[in-house]
Amino acid sequence: MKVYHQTGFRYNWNIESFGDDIGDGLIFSPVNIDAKKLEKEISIDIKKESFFDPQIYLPKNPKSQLYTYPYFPTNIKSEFETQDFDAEKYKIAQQCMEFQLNNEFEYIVIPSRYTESIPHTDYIKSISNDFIIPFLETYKQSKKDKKVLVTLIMNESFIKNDSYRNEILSWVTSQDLNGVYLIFDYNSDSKQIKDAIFLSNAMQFINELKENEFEVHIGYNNTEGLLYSLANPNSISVGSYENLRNFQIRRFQENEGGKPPSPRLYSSELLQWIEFRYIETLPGLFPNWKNLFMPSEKYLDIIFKYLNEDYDKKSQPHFQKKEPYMYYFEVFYKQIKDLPDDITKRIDWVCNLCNKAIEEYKNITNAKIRLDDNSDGSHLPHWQNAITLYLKAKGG
Amino acid sequence: MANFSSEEEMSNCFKKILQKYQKRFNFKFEKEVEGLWGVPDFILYDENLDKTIAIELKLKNWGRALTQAFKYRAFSHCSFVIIDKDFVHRAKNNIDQFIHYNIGLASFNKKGKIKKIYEPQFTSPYSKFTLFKLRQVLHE
Repeated sequence: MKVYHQTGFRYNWNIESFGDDIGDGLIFSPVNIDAKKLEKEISIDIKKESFFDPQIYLPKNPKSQLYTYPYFPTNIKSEFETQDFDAEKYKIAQQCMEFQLNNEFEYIVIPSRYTESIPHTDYIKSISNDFIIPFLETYKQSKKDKKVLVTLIMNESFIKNDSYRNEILSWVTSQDLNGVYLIFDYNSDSKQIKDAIFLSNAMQFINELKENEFEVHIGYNNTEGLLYSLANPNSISVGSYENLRNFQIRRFQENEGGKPPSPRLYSSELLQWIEFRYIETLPGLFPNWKNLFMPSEKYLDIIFKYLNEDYDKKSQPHFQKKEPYMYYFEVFYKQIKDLPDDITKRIDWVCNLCNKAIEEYKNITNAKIRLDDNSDGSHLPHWQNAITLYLKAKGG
Repeated sequence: MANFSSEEEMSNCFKKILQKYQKRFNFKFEKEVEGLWGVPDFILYDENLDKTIAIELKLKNWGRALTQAFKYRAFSHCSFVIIDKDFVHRAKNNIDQFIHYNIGLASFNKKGKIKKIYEPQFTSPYSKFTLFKLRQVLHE
């Protein structure tokens, strides 16, 4: 199973990490990088191992660098409206395909629109008519030999409703495609998905796609990528900021805004991002605290320096500092690469990771540290239940 | 039916009590100090910040209040949860949690009566950085 870097504004961090042999490629994000820069400054060697997400999620809204891409609908027709797809969809497909082929990306990715609260049948119709048909026709004319993925955004109602899920599955697997770039759109106030039914159904969906010999590349996942690994997707992703580990459409809207997040550090033993202030409590209250963090060649020592006497503001963790994210890329990638290839063994492996994490959380509670629900292990019982439900659904 | 109609009412009433006693017991206080970790409803402190007490007022959700109050131990020597008298019984039923995390518990009513239920030990703040920020904020 591969791990792609889900890139964003700080794509240089991902490129640097990839240069350190962490990750198997990148998912490029045009909203964050100027088209010319992507064409001229990013090496073909990197692009050949990566793919490009065209991000026509909101076709009327070329946020940030999206306007620099010739395929973006508002560059094809100014004041583009949804109904203009009928007239312009082949031009969009032609330009978008050309861009991806010229840059020699590993896959061709067919984009998808973001549509909130619409019936699944309308979603299917919209992707088919506006994207899949024109892209596949254009692709055939190009006579190139690349694998083609379609972007599929599965929201909570699509995933949780068995009938919707099956209809989408039947439709997508009937298309002349090699696979999907699968994005789960799950909205919650929590930083982890604490919903066993959603997680279990998502795993079933991945598994069903795989059984239909589709490649499955999952974008925008957080640590639940470990859970998805049990359905054996071709890849999962690692991302730095929270909006790269949880798909949020507001990333493509003008006023993203909001309060900056608190700095956090990923604990491989707790399977959770822990708010940094809590980590400051650990040395005094929890003697084996360093064991919660997998050793790292480069970054952990720098991060732990934040805990030293020097409390000058400059040395303090901040959500914009790169080290915690570089550390996550390294450690999570290692966790994924450590997974057994055999799925039965992998399931046992992940169950064991969950059990160990729950035990460590008990030790932290016993050490008189009270974590809030975005740093604690309250997601783990949902993971355990999701595994049970998934295995039951599979007849295991 | 809560004794207080809102946390704002509770906070205003509590502020009056602090104002009444601050000269007698020689302490200062600040309401809703931002930029630390969470926003404590009140911080009580002495001139040199040798003793700081953070206070979280809640009408009823003791669990959330306890989690918040634990965060305040990052920069204070003592952290208290104060709950509306009519709802404090639920927190009292879980007093072992307050003892375990060394967080004080008291009830408060509209007449301004504070009843101490558990008094925690004073300990050193566990985040030097947040303590540094507190000093900056309070001495500005």
